[in-house]
Amino acid sequence: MQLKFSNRSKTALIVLGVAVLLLANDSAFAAACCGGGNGIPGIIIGDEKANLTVELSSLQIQTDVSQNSIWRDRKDLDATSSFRVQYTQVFSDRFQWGISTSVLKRDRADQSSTGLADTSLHLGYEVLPDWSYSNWRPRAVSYIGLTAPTGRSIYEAEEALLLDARGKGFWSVRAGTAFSKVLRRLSFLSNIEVARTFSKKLDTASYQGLIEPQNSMSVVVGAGYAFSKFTIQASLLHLYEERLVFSGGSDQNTSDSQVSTFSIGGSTPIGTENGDGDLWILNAEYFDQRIIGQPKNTALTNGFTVSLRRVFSR
Amino acid sequence: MAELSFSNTIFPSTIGISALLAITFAFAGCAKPNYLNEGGDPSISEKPGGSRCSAESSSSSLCIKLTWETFPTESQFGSFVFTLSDLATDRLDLTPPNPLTVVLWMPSMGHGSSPVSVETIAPGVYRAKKVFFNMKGDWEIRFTAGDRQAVYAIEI
Repeated sequence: MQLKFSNRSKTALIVLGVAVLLLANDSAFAAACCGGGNGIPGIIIGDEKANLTVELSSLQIQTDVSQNSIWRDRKDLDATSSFRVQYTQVFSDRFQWGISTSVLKRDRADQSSTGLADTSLHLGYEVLPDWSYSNWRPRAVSYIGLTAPTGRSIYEAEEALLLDARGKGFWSVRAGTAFSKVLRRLSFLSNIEVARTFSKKLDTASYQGLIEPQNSMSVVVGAGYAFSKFTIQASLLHLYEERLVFSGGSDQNTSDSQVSTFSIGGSTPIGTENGDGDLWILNAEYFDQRIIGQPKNTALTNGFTVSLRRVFSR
Repeated sequence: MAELSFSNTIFPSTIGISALLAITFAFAGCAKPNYLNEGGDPSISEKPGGSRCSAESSSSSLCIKLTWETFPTESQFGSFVFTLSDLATDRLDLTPPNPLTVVLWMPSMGHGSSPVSVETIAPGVYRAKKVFFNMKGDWEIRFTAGDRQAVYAIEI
């Protein structure tokens, strides 16, 4: 049965759709301290067999926000460029694994440093397969992941201005579930993830002792609208991290932190599918952490990401 | 122009998901910047200590007096001169302590900044160089002189 709507209803629906588009996407950045890596990992939540993504991004720290939510703008350049490679593959029909790593280049005050950032792995299982005939049931993939501190942390950085701090510096595990739903031209995406970071003993010039990071949680909501060959998308990522705990009791003034990242962008296939249905997809996004939410104890960034994704069909 | 049409089952779910996301958006809300001062200019204010010492440790009778030579900016190192003296007598401690270190630490974030180098200018008088605060906010300058410690709090 088909229903027809008045022009007014159509307009309202389009306005609502646009509002939704201002909410979400499929990639995200962690708190600004040490670059990306804690948003949605490269989860396959479509029909493809594998994904290979190369991504260039550039971000700049614009504002520091204290634990009391006081904003202080930066005046000088503090920029990070990254080149990320990510591969995800489905196996045994509903299982998937993926790996992601990146190289960061940090620039500040006419100085520059380049090196490896953290590396993450994940293992996922499609807990809710796609039911295209259902208008409400989403597809869902649950996953567990591991992040290896292949990038030097801010505690171990030795270069002037700490430009060689490119990673979190701790091993961490995470678990989450990503949902997606396609309703004709509209698509929706969400992800919820919790992470546990392991403690680390340090003996550096700035700190000697055990640092015990606590839990963190991230939530992503996003939506997209597909035109014939072009999709526009928006997303919102909220990240909350509990405060660090230091052994010995001398440094108990750390604070928890939170930041929301708003992204908007578009993607389009490049060229035509080959005989196997494989294709390239170009994606470009702008992200900004100063627009939405109540950031606390963090540095706020904005920037853009351009990625090229090779989609291998099943 | 093609007529838009929706099935009666897709329509409610679209509205429902859209409403859910809209509520999420409304809950998150737009950011409300609370700048330290108009225009977001950096404000450098040293916290009042109520003491002739910039930093002190009553338990170890350590008094540190600090004078900035060059205050660090977002892109340039700074330096300061400091003295170690006895808190009670105000007499300069002429014996070089071992170790003598200066560490920059951001308590709320739980991390420090790049290493500071310390040189002796005269007995009891020292210079800290390569001072750099890699973020704006509340910082501590932590002094260790032998087994004595003192902290100088500063807001960048």
